[in-house]
Amino acid sequence: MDYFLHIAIVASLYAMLAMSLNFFSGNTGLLSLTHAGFYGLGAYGWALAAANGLSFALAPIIALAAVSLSALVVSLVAFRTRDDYFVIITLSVQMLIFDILNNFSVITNGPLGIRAIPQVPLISSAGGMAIFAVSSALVIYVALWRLNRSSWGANLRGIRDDELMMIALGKPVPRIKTITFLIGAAIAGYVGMLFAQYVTFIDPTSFTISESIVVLAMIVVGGLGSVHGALLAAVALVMLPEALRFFGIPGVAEGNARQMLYGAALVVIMLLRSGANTRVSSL
Amino acid sequence: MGMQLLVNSLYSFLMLALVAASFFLVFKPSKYFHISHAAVIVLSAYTFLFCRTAGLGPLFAGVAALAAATALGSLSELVLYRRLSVSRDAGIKVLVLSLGVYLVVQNILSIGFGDQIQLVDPCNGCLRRVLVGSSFVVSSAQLGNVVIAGTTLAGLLVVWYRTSFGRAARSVSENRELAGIIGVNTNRIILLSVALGSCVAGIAGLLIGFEVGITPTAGFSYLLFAIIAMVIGGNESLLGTIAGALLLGALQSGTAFFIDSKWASTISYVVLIAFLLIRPEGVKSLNLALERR
Amino acid sequence: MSLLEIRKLEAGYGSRQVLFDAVAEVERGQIALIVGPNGSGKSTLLKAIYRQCDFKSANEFSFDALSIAKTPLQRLMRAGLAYVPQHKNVFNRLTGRENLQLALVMRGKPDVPSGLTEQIPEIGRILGRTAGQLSGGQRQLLALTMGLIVRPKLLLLDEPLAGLDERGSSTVAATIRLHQEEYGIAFLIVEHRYKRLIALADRCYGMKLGRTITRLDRAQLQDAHRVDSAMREVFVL
Repeated sequence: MDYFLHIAIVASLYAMLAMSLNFFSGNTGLLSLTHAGFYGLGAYGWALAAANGLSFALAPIIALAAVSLSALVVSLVAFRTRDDYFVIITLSVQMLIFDILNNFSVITNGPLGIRAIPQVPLISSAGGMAIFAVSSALVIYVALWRLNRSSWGANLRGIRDDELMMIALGKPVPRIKTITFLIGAAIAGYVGMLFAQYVTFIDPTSFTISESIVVLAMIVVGGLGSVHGALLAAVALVMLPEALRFFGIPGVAEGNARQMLYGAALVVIMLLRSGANTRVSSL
Repeated sequence: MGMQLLVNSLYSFLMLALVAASFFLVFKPSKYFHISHAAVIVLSAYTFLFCRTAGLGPLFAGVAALAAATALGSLSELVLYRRLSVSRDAGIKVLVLSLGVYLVVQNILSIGFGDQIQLVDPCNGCLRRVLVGSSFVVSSAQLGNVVIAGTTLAGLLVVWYRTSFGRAARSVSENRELAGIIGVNTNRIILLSVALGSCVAGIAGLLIGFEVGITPTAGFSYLLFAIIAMVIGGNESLLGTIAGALLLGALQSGTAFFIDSKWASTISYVVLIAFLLIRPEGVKSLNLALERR
Repeated sequence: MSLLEIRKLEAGYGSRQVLFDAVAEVERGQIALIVGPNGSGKSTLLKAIYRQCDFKSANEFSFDALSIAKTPLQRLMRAGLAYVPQHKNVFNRLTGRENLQLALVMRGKPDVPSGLTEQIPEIGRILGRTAGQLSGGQRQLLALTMGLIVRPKLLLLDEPLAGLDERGSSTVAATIRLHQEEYGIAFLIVEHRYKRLIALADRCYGMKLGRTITRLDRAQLQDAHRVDSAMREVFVL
């Protein structure tokens, strides 16, 4: 039973990460590799806030504020670039965040990580966490789906297709991009907070560039811009190693093999889907 | 004390220049960010380790290491990236594809060798000797690396600026369309340049492994350093990239010397971000996209 | 059969068709001129011949008896086809000499011939410097030389006089004439400053809105009135 709860939790967390990344990157075509960084900042934000005695009401606010603030700073820098240079700059931000988490031992305890992370009583049990995680995922799914179908989503896709035209039409493009980016980052931070409470011990190795690539792989596999795609791809990719385990291929479920699988999925999908005329945003 | 800093900077510069030059060769003619280059760097060191534990001689292991690196880079270009190069948004597509390739190769190495840092030893401890100069200290590994890196860089400069291949590669890097009109076989030149760049990356990987050791994920930071050096150096020429490596090397050594070595990479990322903020024209992302056609 | 034979060529860029009825016939060792206003498709015609845009259809479209639409560019080049585009026609970061070496090596021919400086007097000053350091006129001359130096059978030139002054234009005209006489190179030249080159031309085509609407041969070109009225038809709406 615990095993199934675990799967449900992991699947929900990844689903939220994928959907939130898709909300910005999938819709605008600006592929960001900072997602694991925001996820990590949320986790560390909670761990540090809660461990230092902040109440369970205040801690999430502080953590999310930290994530949003970093996202804001990142957006100011990154939005000056486009296409592949945008990816490169988000890549360096991700490395920077990891370095800070890993090196700023005074605050983050560096590679040793943070133990005994306080949990909100409601979700301290596997069952409680599972219910909370799955419900969060569903709420976020509905919210992002509605946003996608609203004029907000239309604006994002307009920016993806012809940013200059959108500006000419008088749309506040920088503001739209920034807010979307912040929403995505905040959700990632929220996932981080849940993750920190689920595992009660975090260290920087959960929030590396490879993790960012994994989430990107999920939204590419699911189809950029599609909320359902992100959700389904995340769940499928989490389930796949587990299913393989049942069919007698052990060891695929663990860390490295799992990442390798995601990398392979990304390669295959990229090769299959890119016809001569597909823009990256319609992958 | 100043002497030690100078020596450290020189060492950093040469090693960074080697990695940066290797990436330049892969990136400039093709205009694609082969992120898998990060895997190419470490693959060579692990191939060497593998051969040594299998009992093979250091010379054979070295050749095998370079061959593996060259093969990974060239095959990725030929079999994978080239397939995407005729499509729209090819730059981003190749980048995303290369992320996948990196993930696969890096994890294979992690599974095969583990994530702990490993030193590459070609000669039973000969690299660990400490040599004391007048007012500085180097290891024999560093000395050997300086010689190899310096020679390789010199050779690269000759090839790039004085041979007909280099001339053709420079023409493809500047204007691929015109190069095709003139009669340059652009696909072949790009492949050769990628192969050469991958081989040099293989050399760099070995040298890094000799001196500080490697982990499967280490390639990524070196890749980013290469990009930083290239951007600082004006993103145009091989010489500029090497000059950028000089600045970056001094910066990293200075940080390690005066503050703490663990912050050297962090400062480098901040420099890249600052550069892209202050001088975004130095990067001309849009121009690159138009140039690719 | 003519060296270059084109009848009713249709071509363009993707879904945008630019040429609807282009005609050109160039004999060996002859100089043909194409004249027309902006948007007439003259540059596109050259690009179509050099396989730089999308071919749609043609009644006849051949170079040296090879079907241009069906023959790969490398093969056409080896058969003696060369092209100098109007813009970005030199490598700015390479020296003049390197630009020429590049043009030559790819054709499997040896290094820059020593007689070059006699044939094209200005070229001496250009060889040692990077193309980016040259003046506009010098760059044009370098680009032209890159086309000439491979001794093609047919050289396609797109606006070779663009940005040149009196002296520069005469130098180019003289160089073209010299290479025609000495090496039997045929030329197909797009140039809307046609007056300078009319004296050289064996044939002149006028294009308008993607169609070739006039053709004047040597005899007719001597008659200034004939030429003027034909040009008026081409340039005036």
